[in-house]
Amino acid sequence: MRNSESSNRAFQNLRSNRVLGAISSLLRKAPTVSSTSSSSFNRDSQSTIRDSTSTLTEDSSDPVRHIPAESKELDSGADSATNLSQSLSSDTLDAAGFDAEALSARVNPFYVPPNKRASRVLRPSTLNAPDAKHATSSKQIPEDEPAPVPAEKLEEETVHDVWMKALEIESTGILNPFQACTALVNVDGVGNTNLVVADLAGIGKLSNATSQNLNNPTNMFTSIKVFQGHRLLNEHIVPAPPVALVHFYPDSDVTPRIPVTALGSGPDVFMYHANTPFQRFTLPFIKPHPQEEDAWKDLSVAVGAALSQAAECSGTGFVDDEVLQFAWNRIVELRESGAPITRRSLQFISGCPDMQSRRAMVNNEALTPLLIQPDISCMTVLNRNSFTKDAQAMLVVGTEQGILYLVSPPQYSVVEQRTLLSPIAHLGVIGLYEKEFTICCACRDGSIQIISSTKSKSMKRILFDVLLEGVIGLRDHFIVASMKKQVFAYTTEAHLMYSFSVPSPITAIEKVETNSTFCGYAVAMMDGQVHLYDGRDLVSKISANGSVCSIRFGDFGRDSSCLVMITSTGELDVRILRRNARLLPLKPAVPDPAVVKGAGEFQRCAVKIRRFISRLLIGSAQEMYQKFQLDLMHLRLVAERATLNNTKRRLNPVCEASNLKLSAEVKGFGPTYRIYVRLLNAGTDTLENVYVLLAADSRAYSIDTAGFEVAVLFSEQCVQRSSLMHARQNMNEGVSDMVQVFVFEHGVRNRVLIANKIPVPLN
Amino acid sequence: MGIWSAFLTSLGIIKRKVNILLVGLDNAGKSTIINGLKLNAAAPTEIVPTVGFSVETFSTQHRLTFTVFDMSGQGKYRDLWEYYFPDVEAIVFVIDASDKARACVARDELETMLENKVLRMRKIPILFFANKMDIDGGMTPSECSGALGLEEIKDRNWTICATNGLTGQGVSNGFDWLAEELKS
Repeated sequence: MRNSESSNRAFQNLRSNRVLGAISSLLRKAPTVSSTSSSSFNRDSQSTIRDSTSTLTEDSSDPVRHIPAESKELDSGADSATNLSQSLSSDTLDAAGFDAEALSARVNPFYVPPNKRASRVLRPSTLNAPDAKHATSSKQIPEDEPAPVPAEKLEEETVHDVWMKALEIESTGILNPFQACTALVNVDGVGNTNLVVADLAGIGKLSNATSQNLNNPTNMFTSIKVFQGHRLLNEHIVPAPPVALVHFYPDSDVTPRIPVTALGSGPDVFMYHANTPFQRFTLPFIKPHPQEEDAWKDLSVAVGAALSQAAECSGTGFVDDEVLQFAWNRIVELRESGAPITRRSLQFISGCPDMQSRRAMVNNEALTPLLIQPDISCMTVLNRNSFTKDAQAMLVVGTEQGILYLVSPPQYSVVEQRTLLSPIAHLGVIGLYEKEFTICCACRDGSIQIISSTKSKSMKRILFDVLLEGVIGLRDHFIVASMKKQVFAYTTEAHLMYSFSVPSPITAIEKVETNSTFCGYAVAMMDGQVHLYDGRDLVSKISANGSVCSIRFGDFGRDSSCLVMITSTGELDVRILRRNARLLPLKPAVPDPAVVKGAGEFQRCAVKIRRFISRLLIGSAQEMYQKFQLDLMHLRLVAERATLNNTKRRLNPVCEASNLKLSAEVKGFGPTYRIYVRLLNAGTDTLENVYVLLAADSRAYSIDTAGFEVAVLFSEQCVQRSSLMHARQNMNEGVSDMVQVFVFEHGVRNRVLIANKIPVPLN
Repeated sequence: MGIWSAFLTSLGIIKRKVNILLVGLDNAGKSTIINGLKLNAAAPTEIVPTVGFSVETFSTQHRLTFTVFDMSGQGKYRDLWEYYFPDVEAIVFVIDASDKARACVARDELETMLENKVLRMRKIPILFFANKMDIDGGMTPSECSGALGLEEIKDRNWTICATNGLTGQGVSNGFDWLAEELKS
């Protein structure tokens, strides 16, 4: 029975297909009909697609029958379009002896008369529309009058084509998103990657907050949030404000491969494993400055002695004022010399105004050893011996004290440390620990320091005139983003490869590595734009709804190649790169004369060739000129300084000009003296712009007129000048010094003609 | 198929063999659906992600024997799908209705599939399964249809069924439709 029914249905289908084929062949004979009807079909948003499908599916459990294309055009077109097509096609069909509507109703059980239809058919072009918003923005354009498409819009369309909009959540509860505290982590190790955000002051679940956290306002609600897709999967309250969040695999052979999420906070690294707090590692203490340490050691000895005396009932139990003052002076001296001092010393010299409070403080704290706890400022991960995603890795930790640590799991021991000149703000890493690696540290003083693991263990420093926003390490070079809307690329040898400007201030920078062929970076900007670059070529543009604070690229959920953006308002925007998308430059690259030619090929060569090229790079015209000028200035400065020192120190007179005679004497018994200077032009030429300078030790004497000018000195002319000199009041009696007299010619070269030293009579 | 076989098939003595390609994104539930269709086989307790593809054969009440090529849905294996297009007579596309975020990926893969040269020449029917309907908050079949732009497929027959791979609910409806399409 069932077989017969199904065969009847199949026969009907076959028949309907044949009849519809005949109709379509008739319609094809009238090309104006089909073109007009298709042009009138309205593009609309995806909501209309849903509307149209909802009319088709009454019950979700039943299969929805689809009508083939030819009949679809007839029965579910837009009202106006269908009316037009019907009015036109009815003539044709009448001529052929058919009634189109009656026929459609007969052959198609899902046929709906035109006056009862609400849905519209989308044009095929909307199939390629990237997202609903985009489809909504497109307007209906008649085909016979094609409106010119603006170039920007066209570009936008092609750009958007690469990315698919997967998720857009307006409120995620993230209050302070920033780049360093965001990561895409496969938390459970099951292949479903989560977004992990360490929120500085996120309003967390109060049920998770302990009473201790609630009492302490500094760390209240600071939490790690784990998102699975759009929903919050887990939340941990963290004990201190976080500064950096990374994930890595501490072991090489443990299965299943579950990464550890490490959170840097103060001197500690808190590690989470499989969504639970797992381990804590504290950075070792830093030894303070030896002078400061000595001062506190003396104080502790003094405090110990005072306490023992007090125990014997022979003293007050407090340190002597002299010892206290001496230590105070030593620490102040150290502070003035510019050396960093500990918080305790700072409190001692500035927080204690009178001796009593100093004494109390010293008695309280001097007996505990003086140590500095490092403050973590940034972290990154360096793979140990493989570039694979789940390879064993180690932590690279930068601190506010300017010390860089390499921490090796699973014992979490510091295997290497380097001291830099400034606090470290961002870190970028290239290479493997066991082979060769280079670390680029962006410091808070606006410099980058490139540390190499090669034999020389060299450290190269490049100073910028602006603070830096981020550093990332690509395959063979570093990308540095500055706060002045500029992006720089440096090789591991600290050579500038290229630099360019972006239209808006940079907020974040992220490495984008899709497969073996593409390795670029994304730059997020204040105006909500995210630009994707391959080298210095812009390959893609993405617009977010607000200023993007944090941007991460990688696996998200079950998909790879996802761009996860978090805006300043806490909005989450996830885009997925199409699997077969090819990221090509949007515009042909314009060669920049300022950029060294061939620098892009730099790292592909062997080491010897690389060195040769690096020499060549210096040899390019502009670089060479700048370097030459710099060296020349440097040389001149060194020479001038050496000459000045030499002139100051030596007691012998200098006489470069034989035609000029100088006689100078100091008269008086002190404390006031008078210096007489007499110049005689013994030559035949006239001298112009001759200066006479009198110099004496400013701590001993003060000279009223320290110099005078002789504009013209004719041949055989004699000029005499005098000046008063006073001995300082604090100068002891019976001490005398020298007065130096310089005669120099002001011109192209400021050369000293005559110099001499005159002894000053005893005071 | 020889003349004799065709004669026997038309008499209903032997069943006609039909090749079906089962595709969809990873974690959509393709292998689970196929495991539910296998008769006289113990249901595996744990289903691991398919590597490459697997072939399953089962017969239906419609005088047809389905040979299903269960393709892996992982990104790195999706390029394999197109190699089977010339040999199959129908395609089953499984969608994870509970995963709204990946609907755009499914749409992209579907578009890529439909743009394939071989598939454009062959007007074979496509059966869509909106799987995992038991999970709350998932998309309805009409929403799946809208998200994947199924209304734009006008050159071939298709249908969409709401299914639950774990219980097998809705799967037989879909294959009934497919059998009807293939008979015609």
